[in-house]
Amino acid sequence: MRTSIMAACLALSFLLSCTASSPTGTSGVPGGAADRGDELEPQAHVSHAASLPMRLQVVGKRTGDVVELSAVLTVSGRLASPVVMSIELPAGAVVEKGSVREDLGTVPPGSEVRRDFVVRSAEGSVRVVARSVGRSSGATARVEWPLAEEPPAVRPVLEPISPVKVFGATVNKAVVESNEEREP
Amino acid sequence: MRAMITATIAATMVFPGCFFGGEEAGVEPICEPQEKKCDGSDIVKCNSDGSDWAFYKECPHGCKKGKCIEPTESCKPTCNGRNCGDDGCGGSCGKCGAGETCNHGACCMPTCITLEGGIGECGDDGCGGSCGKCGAGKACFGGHCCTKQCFTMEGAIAQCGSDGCGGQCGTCSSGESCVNMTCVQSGAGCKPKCTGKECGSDGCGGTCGLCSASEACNWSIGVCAPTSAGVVEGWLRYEVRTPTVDFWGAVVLDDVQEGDGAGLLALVADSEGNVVGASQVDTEGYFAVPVSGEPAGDEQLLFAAMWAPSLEADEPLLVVAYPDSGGGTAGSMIPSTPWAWLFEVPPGGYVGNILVTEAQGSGAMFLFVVTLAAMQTVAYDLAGGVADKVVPLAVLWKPGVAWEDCGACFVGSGGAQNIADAYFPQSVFIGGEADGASAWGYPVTLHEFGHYVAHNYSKDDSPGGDHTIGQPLAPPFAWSEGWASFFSVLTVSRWLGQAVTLFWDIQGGSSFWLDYAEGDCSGDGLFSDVISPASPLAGMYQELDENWVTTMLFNLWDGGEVPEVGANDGIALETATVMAAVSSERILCGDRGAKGVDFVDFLDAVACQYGFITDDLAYAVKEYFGFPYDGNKSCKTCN
Repeated sequence: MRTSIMAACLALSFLLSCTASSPTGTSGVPGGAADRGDELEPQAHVSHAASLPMRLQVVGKRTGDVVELSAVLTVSGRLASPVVMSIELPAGAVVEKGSVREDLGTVPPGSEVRRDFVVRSAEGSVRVVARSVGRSSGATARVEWPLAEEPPAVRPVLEPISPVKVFGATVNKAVVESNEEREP
Repeated sequence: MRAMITATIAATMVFPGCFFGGEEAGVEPICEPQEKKCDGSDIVKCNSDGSDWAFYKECPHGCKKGKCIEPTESCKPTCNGRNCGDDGCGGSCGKCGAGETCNHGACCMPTCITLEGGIGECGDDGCGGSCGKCGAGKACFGGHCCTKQCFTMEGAIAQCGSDGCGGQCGTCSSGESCVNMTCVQSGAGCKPKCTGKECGSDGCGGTCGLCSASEACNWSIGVCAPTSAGVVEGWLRYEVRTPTVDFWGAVVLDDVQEGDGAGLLALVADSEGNVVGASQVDTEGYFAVPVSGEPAGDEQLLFAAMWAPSLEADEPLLVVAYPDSGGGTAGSMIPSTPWAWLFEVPPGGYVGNILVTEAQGSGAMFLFVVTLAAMQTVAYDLAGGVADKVVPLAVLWKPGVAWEDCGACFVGSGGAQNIADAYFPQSVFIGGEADGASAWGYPVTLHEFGHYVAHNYSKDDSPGGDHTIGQPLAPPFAWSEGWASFFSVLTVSRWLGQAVTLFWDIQGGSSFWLDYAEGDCSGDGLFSDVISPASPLAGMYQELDENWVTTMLFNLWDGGEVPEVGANDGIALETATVMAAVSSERILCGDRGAKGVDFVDFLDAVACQYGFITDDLAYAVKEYFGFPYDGNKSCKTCN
């Protein structure tokens, strides 16, 4: 059986309604290294997730209705297939210098590729995208110029509530919703 | 329209054909040119550029290790009393009738019948085979896949007692007894805990008192209440975003869907803030919190992202916390509070459907559900159901908040947090940037959880540092990261009972995904377009791609709890074996080859625990994954 993103999505939907029931393998593995009460020297440890295999940076300058852009693609990881770089324009804009779509070929890790563009009549943001998509993996780097404002993060506020003691801890803040706010 | 496109892409990914988005990936060698191996009773041979296997020769007497089995004069067929199966010389002792199988030389008709006489879906078929396997969390009972009921009366995870499927939820240590499916100390050394309680468990196998005939004990708070006592009930759901690969191959987060708040702690407090009832949201999102009388309408319902094995526990073992500040350095102590949601309780106590929206922090609920699933593996497979062996963990996340030098990371020593008067010695930080995976990035969350597992229950000798896709790493580094990603796909796959081998991430609007299960076009062997495979010629202590370690681990694990993916390597270690190996004394105290714990040490640990598997393990690792493990295990222990 092979897994697809779609399968994963479907699976995840199931996961969401899935159980917290647990397997009951109670073999009781002895002596976890960090049994509390041990006097083992703790290991200094900060572990990070892997970085993405490629990134894009774009710098630009606008003079009247002409935009000059310089895009730098930095590849740090192995890619599935040749990289295709493209520029996506707002309506009415035209590329006067540079390729709208260019096959960069195989770009090995540790490489940087720079491409310059001149765009006329760009009444909005221009997006540069680099893609490398294969059968079992895919990487996409994209950046907008001028830099798109970061999408507004939805920031719930936890309000003070009457303290509630549970598990020896005290919960004294919560996201509060009245019944009136709730859908029937 | 987008849904159709997505489905089309998914279909091309699911079925062989190796076509994706109109572009063929580059071809990587999958075998050594001229190499031979068995494919059933045929020999197949690697072609000249190492890109594919092709039929080479048929073996009338069977194939073994890439060679035809030759009948020899010295080989005398032996079928004493056997009417089917191998005669020892490549021939057969006979064939069985339709529907029959050969079981140790005897023809046998498999029987898969339930206790009621229906068709069984699991269990022994009476001929040495199986009628089917049950998914995670289920057991075979009377020919049916039975969902284990391992919850206490308050909805907490049971430590002992019947699982309702003919088995036990666990066993208590000597000196303990099982009360309300919880192990409690018994005997002279145990001090009863009955302060503020008039009934329920005293923690020593006894009770704090009995209720009158017209009352029942609310075990969660130790209070007698009229048997006609009320309940606060309803359903808890939350908004969640799931990933899709769009037409261009980029990972995007879909519009919101709804999930069930399984495992969330549900508390009912009276108008003065006193807890009058507690329970845990069940697997369907349903909650029913018993209270001592019909709710008057001035109570409040609180859901908290906290977990402990019992509602009577005096410390939480998992919390998803809301940092008070707008960020900071991962690894420092961050003032935080548990994520919690408060709702009013209407008169009568029926709350109905509650939907926590993204704007209300549903991401924290999702993080809690995901990490609680991982914590089950820790609690049961590594800590043996003993709460004191579970190292408390805090997960810090807040929308819009990024962590310096982290993104997402696990912090072992130096990661201690004090949250709501509770102490958590270690923490996981998840970035909340709006243009990243944020709380929805469960592969990364579980990867960091995998580091927590290695740090506390195994050994992690990774030097750490930056790492990326396809990068050869020193063996302990590759092992540490490969293990963490394996734990991630293991947790999701195990929970769902199917192989989910996808890893993905979104950072700063850019994305990456890979599928650990994707094999080559013919299905022979494994092949990925970005993962660097091990070299059969580079020795056991070669640098490895962390994702190749994950691929090997997943393929050695699967075949039991989930179906095989990719190559059928004939090995299905399953979770208990893997966890026993990584936490064994062989891992903790032994070392072979490259300095520090690595893949070789893991293989040794498995082989040391299960000696009979050594040859098969070594063969599978070499044959299917190209890793030249020699099988000469060292089984050093800590003594």
